[in-house]
Order: sequence, then C-alpha cells, then structure tokens
Amino acid sequence: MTRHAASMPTLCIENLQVTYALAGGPVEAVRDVSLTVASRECLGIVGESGSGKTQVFMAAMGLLAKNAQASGSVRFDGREILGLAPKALNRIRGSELTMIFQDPMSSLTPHLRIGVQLAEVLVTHRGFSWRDAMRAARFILERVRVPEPQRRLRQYPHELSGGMRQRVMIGMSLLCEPKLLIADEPTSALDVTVQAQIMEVLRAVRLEAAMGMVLISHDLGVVAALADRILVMYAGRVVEASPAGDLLQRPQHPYTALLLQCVPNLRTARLERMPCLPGQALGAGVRERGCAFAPRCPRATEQCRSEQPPLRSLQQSAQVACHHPLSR
Amino acid sequence: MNVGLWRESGRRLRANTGAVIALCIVVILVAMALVGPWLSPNNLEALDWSHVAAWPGMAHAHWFGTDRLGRDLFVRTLDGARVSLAVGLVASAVSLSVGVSYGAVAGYLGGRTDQLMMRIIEILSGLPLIFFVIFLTVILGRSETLLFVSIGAVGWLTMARIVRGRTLSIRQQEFIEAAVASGASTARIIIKHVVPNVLGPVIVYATLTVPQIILFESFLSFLGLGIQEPHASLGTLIAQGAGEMEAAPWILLVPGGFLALLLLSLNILGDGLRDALDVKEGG
Amino acid sequence: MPPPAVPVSDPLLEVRNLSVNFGAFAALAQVSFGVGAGETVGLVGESGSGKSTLARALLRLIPAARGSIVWGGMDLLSCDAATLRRQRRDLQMIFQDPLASLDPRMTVGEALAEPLGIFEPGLSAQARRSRIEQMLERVGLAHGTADRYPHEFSGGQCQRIGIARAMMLRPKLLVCDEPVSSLDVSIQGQIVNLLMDLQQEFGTAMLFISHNLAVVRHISHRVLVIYLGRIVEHAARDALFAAPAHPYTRALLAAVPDPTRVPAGGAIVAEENMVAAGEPPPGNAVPSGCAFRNRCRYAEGICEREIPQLEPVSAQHAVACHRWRVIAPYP
Repeated sequence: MTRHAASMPTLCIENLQVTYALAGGPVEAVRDVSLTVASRECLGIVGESGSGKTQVFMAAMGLLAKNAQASGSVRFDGREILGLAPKALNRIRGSELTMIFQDPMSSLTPHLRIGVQLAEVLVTHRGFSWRDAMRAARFILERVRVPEPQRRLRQYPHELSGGMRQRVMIGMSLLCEPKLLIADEPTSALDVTVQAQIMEVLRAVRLEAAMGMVLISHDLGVVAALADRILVMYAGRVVEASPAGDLLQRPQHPYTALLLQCVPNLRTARLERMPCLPGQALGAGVRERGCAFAPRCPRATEQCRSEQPPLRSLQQSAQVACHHPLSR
Repeated sequence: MNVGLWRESGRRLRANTGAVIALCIVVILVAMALVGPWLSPNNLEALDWSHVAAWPGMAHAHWFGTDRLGRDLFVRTLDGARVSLAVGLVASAVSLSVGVSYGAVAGYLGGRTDQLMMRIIEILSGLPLIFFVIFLTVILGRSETLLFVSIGAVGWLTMARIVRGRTLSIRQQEFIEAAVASGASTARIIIKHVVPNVLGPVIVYATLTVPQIILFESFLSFLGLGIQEPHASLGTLIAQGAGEMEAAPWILLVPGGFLALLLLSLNILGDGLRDALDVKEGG
Repeated sequence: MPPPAVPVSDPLLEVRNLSVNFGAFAALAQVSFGVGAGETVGLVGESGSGKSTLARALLRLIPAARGSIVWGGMDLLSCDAATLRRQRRDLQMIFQDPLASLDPRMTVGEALAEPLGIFEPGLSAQARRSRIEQMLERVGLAHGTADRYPHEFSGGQCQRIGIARAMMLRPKLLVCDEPVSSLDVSIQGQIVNLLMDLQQEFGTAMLFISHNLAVVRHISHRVLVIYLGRIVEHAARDALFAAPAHPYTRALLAAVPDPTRVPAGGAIVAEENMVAAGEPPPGNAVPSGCAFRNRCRYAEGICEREIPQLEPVSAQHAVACHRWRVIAPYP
C-alpha cells in the first residue's frame, strides 16, 4: 500500500469487509479492500454493478443499511471513522467529507427551495447566520456555473433540469470546503452533453478547491478523464490499482484490458462486433475458490480457478491481483 | 397458476408465528363447526326439559350447557358458527368477483367509462347499508339466500375501489405497454395481466372483510332481521344470551367467545397474509 | 409537406410528417423518415428530444396529432383497432427497462407464449413449448429459463428475454427503445451483437433509439439525429460520424470522452468542440425558429425567425440548419 511521502493521506482504508445478512445467508459485498486517497488526489474507482465499489464508500460514510456489517479500518485525516457514533460522524459528514450520488433528485428535499437547502448546510455545520449563508449559497452556485444564481436560489428542485440539480449537489458538497468529495456515478443519469459539462465542473472545482476526490463509475471513459489514479474492482475486491496514464496505456489485469476495449471510442475505426465481456458479473455473495474473474477470463488457467490471486505490487504505485498479469 | 410466487409467500407466512397460530385456530374452529355437531349426542332443536339452563359439564352430555329452552348449546353454537362462516364466505365471494371485475375494468379503461363507473359506486356508497338490507328483506321476504347475496352485494363497493386504484398504478407499468405492443386485446390484458397482479391486496382485503361480514350478519340477526328459528347464527345466540346474562352467563359467553376468537384469528391471519404477499407487490 | 429529404427506395415503414402533442407542448413536430427492409436506422437524441415518444407513437401506444405512418400499404394511424392488432405481429418493440417490461407474475415461458397465443392459437402445447425453447437458446439463455421468473435474472438476461419475446413471430421491424442504456457498458456489447446476429439471420429491420453514439455507430446503417421533437440531421452512418453537418451532432460527438487522451490538467472537451452550452430548455419554453439556437455558437438572426427544414448536403445526407454551409468542416 503506497503512501504519499509528503503528507498524510486524506482517506486510508485498510482491510475493509462489508457483509450483508440476507435471508439466504450472509453475502460479502466488499472483501478485504485497502486503498488510500492522498490529499488533492483524484482517485477513480471502476467496476460493474455488484463489484462493491459503492459499498466501500457507503461504509466509509456510515451509510450502510442496517443489515450490513463492516469491519476493518477507515481513517479520515488520521481519525478512525468506521463505527463512529452518528453524532460524531455527522460533524464530519456533509462538511469535511461529502458525497454526491447518481440521482440528485432523491438527494434534494422536494418541498424546500434550493437556497434554503444550501444555506442550511452552513447554518448547521458552521454556525452561519441565514443571511450570510444565503450569500454563500449564491456564491457557490456561481462557482459551479449555474446561470442566474439569484433566481435559482428561489426555485424548487423539480423546477431544475437534471444537470442543474447535479450542479447544486456539487455546490452543496463544497460549501464547507471539504477535504474529500466522493462522487458516486455523478453523470450516469445525465445526457452526454450535460455529462461533459458536469465533468468539466468537477475538474475545475477540484483544482480551485485543492481538495481530494473519489470518482466512482462503471464507465472507464468518465473516470479516465478526471482521475490521477484508478482502482479497478471486481466481485468485491480490488484487482488493479495504478496511475491513470499507466492503467489506460498498459493495463495489467485482463479485466481492465477488456473494460478498456468496451469504452466507446468514436475516433477509432468501427469494429465488426461490439466489444464486451462475456457472461455476466459474478454476484458479490458467491464464494469462489480461485480468482472471481476466472470464468470470464481469456487467460484463465487451473491455478486461477483454484488459488485466489493476492494484490501484489508490480512497480512503484501499481498493484494487480492476477496470476498472469499482461506484462508477463 | 404461478405456483412459484405463491410458494414464496407461503414460506414467508409460515415464518410469521402469530399468523400461523391464528391460522391453526381458524382451521380448528372451522373443523369444529363442520364436524362438531355430529360428535354430540344432542340435536339442534331437541328440547331437554330435564336440563333447562344447565351449566356446561360432561355429566349430562351438554358440554356447553343448555339455554332457557333446554336446547344444547354446543350443537347450536357450532351450527350458528357454520351459518356465520357460510355467510362470510359466500358474501365475500360475491363481493370479490363483482368487485374485482368492476374495479379492473374501470381502472384499465379509464377516461369517461371510469368516471361513470366510479360515480355509480359513490352513489351506492352513499346509501345507508342497513336500511338497504332491511328494505330488501321487507320487500322480498326473509330468506337466507337473500341475506347472503344482499350482504355481498353491498360489500363489493370497497373491493372495487381498491382494485381500481391498484389497476390504475399497474396500467402505467411497462409490461402492460409491452402486452399492448404484442397485440393483446383489452380483455386479454385485463384477465391475464391486470387481475393476477391485483390479487395480492385482494386476498388480504377479502380475509379482512370476512370478519366484518360475519359481524354484520350477527348484528342483523341480533336485530332479528337475519337468520330465523330454529336455525341459529352466532348473532341470534348472542341476542338470546344477552337476556340471560346474570342468571346463565354461559349462554352468552359460549357463542360470544366463539365469535370473538374467530374474528380475532381472521384479523391476525389477514395481517399476516398482507405481510407475506406485500413484498412481491413491488412488481 | 415535403417528402423526407433522404428518400429510401421501397421503404418497409414510412413516417410522414408525424406530430405528437402533449397538451400545448409539441413533443414531435413534422418528423419524416423511412426504414427499408432488413436495415437498421439509428435514432440519436438526448432526454426531451422526443425519441421515446416517437417509438410509442409508431406503435400507436400514444395518439398522434398529425401525419401518417405508412406500413404495408396502409396508414397505421387511421386504421381500425382490429387491423392494427393484426399488424403488431410484424411490428414489435423492446424496452429500456427490461425487467419492468416483463409481467412479474408470469414465468419466462408464459411471457414468451403470449405472442404465440395471440397470433397462432392453433399451435399444440408441444409445438409451443419447442418454439419457446428454441428461441431462448437462440438468444443465449440457459435451459430451464422458461420456468423461472423475471426477477431472478440480471438486466442483461432480462433484455434477452424481451428480445426473445419480440422475435417469437419473426417481425419485419423491431423498434428498440434504448435497449442497452440501463446495462453496464461491458454488457451492452452482448445485446448489440445479439441484435445484429438476429438481423442477419431473420432479416429484421430495426429502428434503434439511443442517446449513446458509440452503440448507434455500431449497429446502424443510417442515422437520424433528433432534437426537441425535430429531425435535425439524417445521414448514412459513416457520413454522419465522419462529417457531421449540424452543430448539435458535432456537440454530441465532441461530448464523448476520449479515453486515450489523458488530459494533464487540460479541459475534457476541447474548447473548439464545446459548441453546446447550457441544456435543452424545459418543454414549454422551446425557442422560436431553430430550437437549438440558444445553445449554438453559430446562431444568427435567421435562426430566430425561421424553423430550418431538412435540406440535402449530399445524396444520402440531409441537415436542418440555416448555417451549415458556413460552419468549418469537421476535423
């Protein structure tokens, strides 16, 4: 596990395990995941549905469902936050550690005006007066490039378009100048042209605010555009972690390579058959003996089917969990 | 039909202890009502002058005692229970079949047809039920069939409303659109797609209306409008028992207790059914 | 009204001047195009463009205000209900949310048996069962699928079931309403490849509606671009992706991130390609003239006054833009 020599990582997760107690038996959504986010770094997390990528951060934020158990360690800015009491957690969540989700409509309260919802954050977390909070809310809307911010403050969520709402959510998460922003599929529900705009907002905001960011997506193209480092997850485990440029040019794990092929690229020539992964992603709960990806892997051997490949460091800051990584 | 889904719900029901106990009680009571009278040496109408208003006991073969006329309470209570259950079932069946068809058609067709059909229901709901039944009884004379049908005929109103509401929400769902796109006729869609998907709440509601209907029939009989002598229903028995409360309390307690136990168990069972079926309603 | 600017010889389906209104809001306006037998026409648009409305209007699942849909020598919009139902045999649809499009109370086998029950009621149970098994195998589903329920399957598998159901009667045209949008990127290819294989085998024409350009590029022979209820560009696939004429099409193409170009702090979408600012206006505020003018960097006075009509760029390429001649050629 790498550490930035300069400063302490903003987020450090070690051996995180998340298990759900379901009717049919316990299901492991996250298996022994470790990662770090350095300050001011953008970490991209890529995985299909069921890979556990969202569950990792739901656990970190203390947002897991009641029938889920999390074990391991999650240290935010040096403080252990896994298992922290809700009261203490609430002081950190929404101010220093914030999260935005795929569907902004369900994150915003439908019957309150935008301005009120934004101002409330500052009033609660920073003790602002309502007047100052409203002014700050307006300023934040400008930062996320919402046109006519004064008018928007007085509107209700349903009066805004999807892209606009997502900008409001981004703004809301920035109000207390967080050290880390977790964005879970922030553009998946948006149109392509709006997606490009939101990604631009995220990029600009991160540079201006000098904060860390975690970008979770099933779309490697979206992650590739913003991330400094990329982590690939499959069936609850990390299978590859690497600086973005390296991962995109020289992927080590066969799964990563296949995912890359699936990323839409309009600039290259059209292929006869659209690239895809065969079969379907293994349900997170299935206990497998060997590598979880073996059934779908073109390079799988007997060893892969019987032995779980450990996460190993290849060269500096690159790790892969595979018996036969592509470099060999 | 779709055995798999019902089996899943059945499993969930079995896990609910309260509902299972309630189900057992209901089954026992029903069994007693059906078979019980044959177990007793006594008869429904026989007057046993030697044991008038006798306490319940084993010695004189009157297990639940006798009433003021010497009639065995065990046989009469169970006979009354049989009548009450029959009313509950028949009336529920009537209200179910009429209510489901009416509600599904109104909900699916929508528009003016729906408006018209709902207006009719609203008008009928406005009429006081009890006077309606009295009116029918007076005009057409007393008959048990009439009683069953008239109770059921009024009970379908709420069922229709529930089914219509559920149909309205189902109609928006994509699988209905897919069925239309496949070329299915309106009748086919209502029968094969709408009705199976509304059955969940329908069953629950039916289970909860059975006790209401039994109670209503008991009330009518208590007023003297329902079942006539020599047959008894739990309501008439309770009416007779009310008069004897101080002297011979068992005449009230036996049928009253039976009725209360039956209604309570049906209600608990209904709740359990709703919990068991509800999860799948997410569609 | 003028005929479609890119005529198709002997079209299987010809849509002429179709308009659909929701109250005062025009969801579709003057839409005209044709689909030839055995070809795939891609329809690209974002939310609010009216593409789903078009799919439903084609199958008469929602009423149209004006226009005609010419199919097999008759107008689908003016024929009676019985005739329409008969046509559904050859005009089928697959949906965006595959699980929602399947009746949760019916097994997969029962769902697939339904089209057979409607159009081939004389089939014996044996024959029906065998047709269902054959089709399930053809779409890549395991033996025993027929006895299970939709909720037991993944999104990709449900979509295969939906495709199997739609193809049971070998329709001539399959309308695909965003069939892969709700699936993971890695699975989308499976469904697209399956559809292409089925087209190869059965000669089914397809109208493939999507907001995803990469998928549309893969499966379509010709592409229509729709914006706020109007067709703004219409071209053969390669022509559209090589030299898009309409600013909106260019914006769509530019917005797809290029994974091979890792920006070192640079902008995600190159400035010169960021032609579309803002977002589509909410329904009741469609601008006069060209609906795209508020977002278009090339807009001029005429764009505000007149709605642009489709005019030919070349033999198989038409665009509805006043300024297309003036815009710099696509890099």
